[in-house]
Amino acid sequence: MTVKRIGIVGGGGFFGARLVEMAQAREDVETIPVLRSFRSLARISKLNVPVRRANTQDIASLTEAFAGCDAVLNTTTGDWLGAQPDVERFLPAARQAGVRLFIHMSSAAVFGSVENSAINDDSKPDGANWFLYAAEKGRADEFLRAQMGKDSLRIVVLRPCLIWGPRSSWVTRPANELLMDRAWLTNNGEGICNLCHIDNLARYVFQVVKSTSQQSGFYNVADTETITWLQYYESLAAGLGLPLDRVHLSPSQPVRLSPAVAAEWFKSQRLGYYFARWLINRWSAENKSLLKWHLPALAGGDAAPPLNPSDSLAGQLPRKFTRETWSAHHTHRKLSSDNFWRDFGRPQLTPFEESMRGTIAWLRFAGYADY
Amino acid sequence: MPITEFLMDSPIKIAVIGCGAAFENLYLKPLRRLERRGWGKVTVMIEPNPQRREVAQKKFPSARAVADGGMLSDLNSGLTIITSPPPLHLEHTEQAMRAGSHVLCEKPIAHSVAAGRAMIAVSDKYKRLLAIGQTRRFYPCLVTAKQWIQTGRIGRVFSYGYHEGGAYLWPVASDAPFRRSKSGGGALLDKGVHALDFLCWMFGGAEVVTHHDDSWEGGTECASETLLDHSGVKGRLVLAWDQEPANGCLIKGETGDLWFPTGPLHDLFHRPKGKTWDRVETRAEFHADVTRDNRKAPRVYYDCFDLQLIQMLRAIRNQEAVPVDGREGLIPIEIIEAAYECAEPLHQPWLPNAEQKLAHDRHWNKRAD
Repeated sequence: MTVKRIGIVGGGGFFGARLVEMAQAREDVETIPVLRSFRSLARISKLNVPVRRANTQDIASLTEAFAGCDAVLNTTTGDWLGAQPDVERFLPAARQAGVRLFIHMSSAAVFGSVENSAINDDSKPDGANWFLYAAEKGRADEFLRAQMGKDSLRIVVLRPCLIWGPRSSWVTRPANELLMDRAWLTNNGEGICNLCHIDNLARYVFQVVKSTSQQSGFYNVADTETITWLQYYESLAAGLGLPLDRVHLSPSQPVRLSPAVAAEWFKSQRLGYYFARWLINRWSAENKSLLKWHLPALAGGDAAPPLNPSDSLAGQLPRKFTRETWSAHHTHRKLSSDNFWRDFGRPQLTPFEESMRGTIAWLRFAGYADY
Repeated sequence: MPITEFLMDSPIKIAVIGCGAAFENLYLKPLRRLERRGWGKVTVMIEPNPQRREVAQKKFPSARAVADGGMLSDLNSGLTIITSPPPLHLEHTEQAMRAGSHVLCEKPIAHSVAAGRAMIAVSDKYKRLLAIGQTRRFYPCLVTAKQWIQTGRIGRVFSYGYHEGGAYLWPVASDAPFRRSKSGGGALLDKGVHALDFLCWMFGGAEVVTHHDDSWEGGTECASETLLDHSGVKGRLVLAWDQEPANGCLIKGETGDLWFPTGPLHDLFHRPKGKTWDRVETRAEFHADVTRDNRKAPRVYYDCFDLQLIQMLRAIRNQEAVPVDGREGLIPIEIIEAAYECAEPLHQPWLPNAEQKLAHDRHWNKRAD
């Protein structure tokens, strides 16, 4: 059996760490986490696997880290504005290291709204996307599009939408909303929740690595089932033993101005994002905590304990939607993975119900059902 | 004029051993504030790494920054702050106390119970104060929760569940914290030292009932679940580096429950049996002056380091109690060591079967089999 070696930039992140963990149970792949800092080891420290450190600003350092790898996977998401500059360094480093396959983890967010039925895997990203993260991911995608077919290095760009499962913020955030009776779904919860379970996403990556296909290109990847936001939230509520009326529905309405919406707008402006990064990098932790002390809204407001399952604050709490959640709740099209299946074959994906059972088991371990 | 004020003519000389991340992020600013107020004076900084030594020297230009501990000799009755790696705490404590200095040692007291006990013996031998940095004892929410429990305001306490986890953000300079041979443990050792200190402070000492973690051989646990028994109060402690559990502590009592989130200093909630949650006003003030009886509550985590240092100086000058002494500081390490002794593989039903089996078969504590 040929063992494929995958270098994972961001191998200590949420997705990278899970990929490394899953690879331990496979005999056909070997993963090498490529990390910027030692602290990134924390998420994979249990495995005691060898890692490579690299200065991701330096092509020579990256080339050294990629040596001997059959494939390189880029899972970094830290600095939004770094999305394109990062791949501009990773790609030549991969070429110099003799890597044959470069996989880039993009996002379905690059399309902005996916309401347009003409949008397919090869569609160009929405260049005027209001969401800076998505706009920058789109720029990285377009850079990679221009590089495809230039030489023998294959480039595969995967575009999942909402990565969920144990440890995901797309699970802990709804769980907290449900526990505190703050779970509001606009568009009456009828929008499509384009989920991709973290283990299924890893299986898509392994499928590309193991495939004999010589394809380069862009591929939307998702779970098989079509799930609405209401179904998703109700499944979580049921798993946590909460009454289903903890999921509150609201008809479609415009996004209203709120501190959260204003903060979202500010961070979505290039200048605002620069300023926020500057503040994070230059200010001491002490000064940041004092700022939050004086301006509690910056800390996300007051903490509150979960409610008794029998209590309800419905109607007392404002319905707050950021532009990001509003857009997500108004999705009316299921992302199709057909093109991926056509070119690489269909991986063994875990069905939604089974994935949800596992996710609930994790939520229970993590204390979300203690109340 | 009170005698303490008279004695304040000369600030207490302070040495720092280990000028790494803990010194830079937690002690540097409080020490500069102490100097500005004339209560203490950093005179020696010992750090083997030349770059870190240079940074420390810039912050305290009048202090001597050196690579080894030979300069401690003039610290008689002064204070040495030890922020070096835990395996070096015993050696550095002995060095400082032999020179006549009192010691404030950053948590954990040591990397092992044996080393911690040896530190206490050194402190007894030289009759110097040994304090352990446990700044959460200054959190008003924890002080108030302890008062509520001790005065029976939620009746007899049956149990608690404590969850703490999130991304690891400490700027470590090597992979040592993540290799069992170098660190001795992972999330339980890192976060448990804090949590077990205040949980035992609230509920008394604890026996380990069971301990499960996800570490493979040679690695350190990313997540752990420890069941404890504090003489009848049952505790469940979940600590993690790789996930964000429902961060907080839920304490269940006969007549009501208490809940506080992990992190904030002032948030505490009470739920009388059968009713909904209400916010509790948290009150706790500590000495904010080395000579006068001026008290204040900490606003943020970093204020706790100022208050801890002030109390340490008051202990040296006025024979007051240190915030947490060596014997108390040893308790979390005793529990952690007992937990590792009986460590078993964590049950992780969210993993596919093949991975669950692998995690079990490769668990670091072979005694589990």
